[in-house]
Amino acid sequence: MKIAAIAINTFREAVRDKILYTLLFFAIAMIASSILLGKLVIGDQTKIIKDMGLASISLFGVLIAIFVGIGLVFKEIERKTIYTIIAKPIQRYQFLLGKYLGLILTLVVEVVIMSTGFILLLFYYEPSPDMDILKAILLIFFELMLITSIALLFSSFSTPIMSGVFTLSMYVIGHLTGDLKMLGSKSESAAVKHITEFMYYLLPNLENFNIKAKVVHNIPVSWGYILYAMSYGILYIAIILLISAIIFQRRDFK
Amino acid sequence: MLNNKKILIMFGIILPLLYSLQKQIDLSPERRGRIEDMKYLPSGRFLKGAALAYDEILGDLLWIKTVIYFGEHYLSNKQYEWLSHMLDVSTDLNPYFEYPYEAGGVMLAMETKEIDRSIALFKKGMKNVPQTDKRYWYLPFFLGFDYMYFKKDFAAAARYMEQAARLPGHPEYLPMLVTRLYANANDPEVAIAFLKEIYENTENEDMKRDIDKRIKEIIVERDIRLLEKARNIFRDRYGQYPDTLQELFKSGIINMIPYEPFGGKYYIDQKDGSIHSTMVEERLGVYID
Repeated sequence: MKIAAIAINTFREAVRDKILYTLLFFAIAMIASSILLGKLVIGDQTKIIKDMGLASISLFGVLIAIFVGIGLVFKEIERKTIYTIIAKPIQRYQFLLGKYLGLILTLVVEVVIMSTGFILLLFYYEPSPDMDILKAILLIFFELMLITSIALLFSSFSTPIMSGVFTLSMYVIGHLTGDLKMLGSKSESAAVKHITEFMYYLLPNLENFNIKAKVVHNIPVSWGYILYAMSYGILYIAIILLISAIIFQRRDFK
Repeated sequence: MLNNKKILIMFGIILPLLYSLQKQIDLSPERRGRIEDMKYLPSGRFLKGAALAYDEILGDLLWIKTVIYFGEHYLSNKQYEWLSHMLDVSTDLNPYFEYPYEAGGVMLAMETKEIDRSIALFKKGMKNVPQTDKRYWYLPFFLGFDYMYFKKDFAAAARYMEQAARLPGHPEYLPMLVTRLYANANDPEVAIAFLKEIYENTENEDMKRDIDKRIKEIIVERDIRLLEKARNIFRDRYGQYPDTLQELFKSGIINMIPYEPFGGKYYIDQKDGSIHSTMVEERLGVYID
């Protein structure tokens, strides 16, 4: 209950910060590009719209996850509002979890509205578009949740600017770990091989959530795979939140 | 309340699960065949814009992938479908970087036999790489090699070689090589010098073995030609072919019987007087007109 109260409050704050205005940008960008590209592209027009739509959902989501996520805890400390909260009978990890879920709620609203607009646009161009696109959106959402947890982790001990830099780096690295492992496996030094392999399993592998190309080209993606990717996301998030809670628990607010 | 014991237990459960999940995901068909998918690699000119200001680093990454691509196929099926495209894109992204032109051109010429593409790549390199680059001279050098060894265009070969010999960093023997090339384009000595240079610059052990074998074959060819010349002198002098190569030596026409690089021996065939090596069955005809 306490967690829900904080979550809803975080959501309200995000709405007050006019974060949902990004949806307007999304709508304009989507419709404008579909009209523009529709005139330019020869051949499969819906492919381009699908690419644009999925990329925009992912991009806007990542931007919100990072830029709102990094300020979540820091803002409370800076404005000293955190004193009034932790003075109440509430565990610190509950506070942290509430903040996290509040931002997730914001992301749910964002993604749902963007997806609805996107699918409506698809219906405008095609009588019965392939609904596998929802699988891709589902995994994009799990990626966003993971990024949010990373932003929260950094936010629990660092300034917003530093957290932003760290989270953005993790986002980029998370999409390149496959290359890291491949390059490491070509190395002749056993030490390099082991280190890159270790890093590969340690760092978040965000490519697990990337099935955009497959979905757009109608290559089947099994529910088994989706399930694996989702479980991976949930477990990874659990670890990150656990570490954030440990750090946050030991912090001294002055 | 979170206490240390609970936290440790949670880590102990979740981390192994994460590890095995990732292994499972890597094995699923959805994740396979990602690295080799070069069909969608767009042109370098497009990527240069799309990569914002990071085109060099993207080019570096692609170059590393190209080397791995080459290495993997060299050891497996020897099919290099995307090699020239990858080289082209990575040199578009990294126009001033000498090594991809040099190594790529040699790969295309020596391994995939795409001579025209190799020549185009060397020429592109000569246009883009700054002449102050320490390895710049390799570009006209190997370009000349392509013209000589594969195209049999000895005039063009000598021209590019001369250009290489004027650049800093070239080996001492190069001017002499140019002279020999102008005098007698069919000189095995010229081919041996080139191949030795390629050998020195190759790191892949398997490829080194291949090149080494080729060098030795050319040495055999050179020696056989030398012995044939001596045999003809012998015939003119004594009216018959010698029975053994030893006779050439004894009569003072040659001052030693050359050492066979594969560890075999040279001998003279009694039937028609032709000269062979015990180790190489067929004579090399590659650079012979």
